[in-house]
Amino acid sequence: MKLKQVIVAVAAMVFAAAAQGQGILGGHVTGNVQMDAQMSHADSTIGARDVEEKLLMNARADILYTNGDFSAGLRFEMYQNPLLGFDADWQGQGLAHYFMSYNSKLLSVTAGHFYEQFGSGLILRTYEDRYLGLDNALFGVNATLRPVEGVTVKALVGKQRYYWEISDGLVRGIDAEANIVQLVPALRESKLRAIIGAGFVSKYEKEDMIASSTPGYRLKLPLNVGSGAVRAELGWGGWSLQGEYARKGQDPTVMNGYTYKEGQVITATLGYSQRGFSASLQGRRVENMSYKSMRTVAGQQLYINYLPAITRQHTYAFMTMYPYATNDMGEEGLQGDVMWKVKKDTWLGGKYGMDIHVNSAIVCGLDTTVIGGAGTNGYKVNGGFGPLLFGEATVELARKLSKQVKLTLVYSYQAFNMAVENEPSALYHNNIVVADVAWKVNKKHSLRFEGEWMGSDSKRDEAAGHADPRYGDWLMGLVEWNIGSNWFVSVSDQVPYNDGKGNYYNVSVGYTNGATRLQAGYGKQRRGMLCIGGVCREVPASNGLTFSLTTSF
Amino acid sequence: MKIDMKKILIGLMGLMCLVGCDKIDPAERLIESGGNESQWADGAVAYVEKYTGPLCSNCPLADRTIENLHHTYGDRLVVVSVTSITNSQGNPYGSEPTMQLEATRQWEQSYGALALPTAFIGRDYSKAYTSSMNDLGGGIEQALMIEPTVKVSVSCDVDGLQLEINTDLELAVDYADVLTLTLMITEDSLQYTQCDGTNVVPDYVHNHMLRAVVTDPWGKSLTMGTTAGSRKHDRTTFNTGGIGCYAPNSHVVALVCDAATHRVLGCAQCNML
Repeated sequence: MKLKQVIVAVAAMVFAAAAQGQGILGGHVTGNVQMDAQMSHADSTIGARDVEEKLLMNARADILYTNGDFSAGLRFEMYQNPLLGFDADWQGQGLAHYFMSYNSKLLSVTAGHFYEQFGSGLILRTYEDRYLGLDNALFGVNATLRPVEGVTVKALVGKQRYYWEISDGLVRGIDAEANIVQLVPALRESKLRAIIGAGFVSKYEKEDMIASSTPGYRLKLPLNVGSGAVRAELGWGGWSLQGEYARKGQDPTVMNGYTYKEGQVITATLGYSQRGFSASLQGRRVENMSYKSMRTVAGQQLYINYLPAITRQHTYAFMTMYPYATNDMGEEGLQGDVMWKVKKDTWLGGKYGMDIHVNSAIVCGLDTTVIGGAGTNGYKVNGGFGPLLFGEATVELARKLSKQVKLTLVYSYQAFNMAVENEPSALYHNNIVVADVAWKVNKKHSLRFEGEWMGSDSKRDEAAGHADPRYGDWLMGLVEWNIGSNWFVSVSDQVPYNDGKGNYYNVSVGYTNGATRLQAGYGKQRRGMLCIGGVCREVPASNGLTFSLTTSF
Repeated sequence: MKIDMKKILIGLMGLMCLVGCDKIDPAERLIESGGNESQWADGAVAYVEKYTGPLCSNCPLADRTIENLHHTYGDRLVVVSVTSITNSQGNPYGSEPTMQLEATRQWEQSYGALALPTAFIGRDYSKAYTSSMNDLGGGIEQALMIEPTVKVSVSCDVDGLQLEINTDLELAVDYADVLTLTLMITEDSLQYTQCDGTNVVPDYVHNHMLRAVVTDPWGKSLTMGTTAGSRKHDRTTFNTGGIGCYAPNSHVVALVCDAATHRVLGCAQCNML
């Protein structure tokens, strides 16, 4: 750890301790601690390898001190060594995040590490996800001004966190948002909701030596790359309409093969909701919108912007086996979603009512023609649709059968193009059925049974190098037993058949006491993709023990 | 004083838009590179690691073979000449400065103490080329017939003594095992004593001499996808003050190897200037 980090950490700790323990400075301290450990040994049937270090651990502790309008925080992180699937660059420990902040009704200012978002994040969203191994926090200064009620102006300057270092790229941004209804007194009593906003972000990065496809020449790179967005959100009664359009200047990076085509994205969502019913229709088109603060960095780090998923985020295991990751190079998609709470004492709702959730999404690539490599615009977009990347239709029914028993049934059809995972294009069709029964046995004990089946036309062809462990049809069973509010035991097994290999069993035990939760598990993890909000990381196969401890204070 | 917030906002956003975006016209996108970067290789590049020493009698013979091969294969052959540290023939002649690097001890130990000269292609320690290395050309020819597992491109930027090395990697095929990246600096046209048996060869010129291993000797672990098309960029800085190499004659070599077997899966070389 660097000396200045040590000084800051010690000063902050002393400060916090004095504040809490002695009450000299007032204020209060909150925080949380999380530790995840993993042991894994070789299993040739699933492709798991021995862990040389025997034990891997990710750990972190957040401390937040608040005193009136002032707050300060820090986070210690340790990856010794990183859990399987996390980038090796995370290895290390130290003070990863620290900030001081002043918040008043008129003004908020943060100095240090901070997270920020403009609109829906199409041009700027910095965030962290510990399960994905992502942290693109900005290190700099962030100010939010609220000059009048209903108007918010944000401005920031900083550099992004890049594992244990700070990115070379400098990020500047400004965003303004106005709530028209709050600004115009005459509208305050109406059913109208109207918010408009606009933002601009610019990144600066010094020249890199990037070879062109013409021998003896390199690329002249734009050092400042700007992106701008406009957005509006309108609502009337139960109806709502949200739309945002963003455009990005020339941004040749390793992600787009150092091509100079400008990027753009447009998204719109029409929604309706009333008591017991809601529906939404969302459309989006993305073209070359990977926006990172360092042009030479591939992978998931250093994204300045964020393109939220246009597909439903599932929780059941087989429905996440072929997850769709947002394709920021180019896609166009549509998603529809309907939720209906059928009233009780009706033919469909029965004695306790029923929840019906229908969701469908379709995502295609762009129809393009390649016009060149590095130094050119890369491709031109034609009028039609590109190849199908992902399609899905899901129906979910949840109904209480008695006061103690609740049944959830799900059917999902998914079409998945392996091109999403940079594999040769191949479209797989999966049918998934889930039955989930929650049984509250008595005041102290409850049980949950889950059965899943997936039929897939994906075929194993190891001779052709297709060793994907997801091939074949699958069955899964899970039993979860909750004992009081403290203990739980869970046993599950996933077994492929027909064309699959392996037996992925898991046993886990957990203990919860207040804000502290301890969990231990043993089992096998299939190699695959873990996706959260359309952002994915690869998870390697593992076979062994896991431990997890979380607590907050 | 009344603040006109609207004007301030419009002014700020206008300023950001003006200063925040560069646009490069198509005709201006290519600039002459000066040669200090490698291109993506069209095919395979053979990597020859040769162990040598100033007191090694057969080394001048092997050097001639390698120079001839270098003329034949040009950029498709990357040679690194390692001065042995475990064999006493690698010691300097008289009081001349040593070319031995402690970092290379592990490499020599991994294939065992052998006579000098010895060369390997792609760190395949099962086949050693020795003496005059007359069969080395056949080995290189075979190596060049195999498509690389990893496409490698390396470039560097020199600012005084500070060297910035940028390496781009792309998996050409699916590869699930752990990879490492080793970066090295080599230098041509070095003049120091070379013996051939009992005599000193006058005005001997050494090429491809290893001057520094920038990374750990076996390289640093790479985290990248396992499927074909997965890419990774690495940026490494290095202060060349400690080695005193002459930049116009120096090169940066990037090697991508399997972490377990150390076999070379891709390599590239660029000029330092």
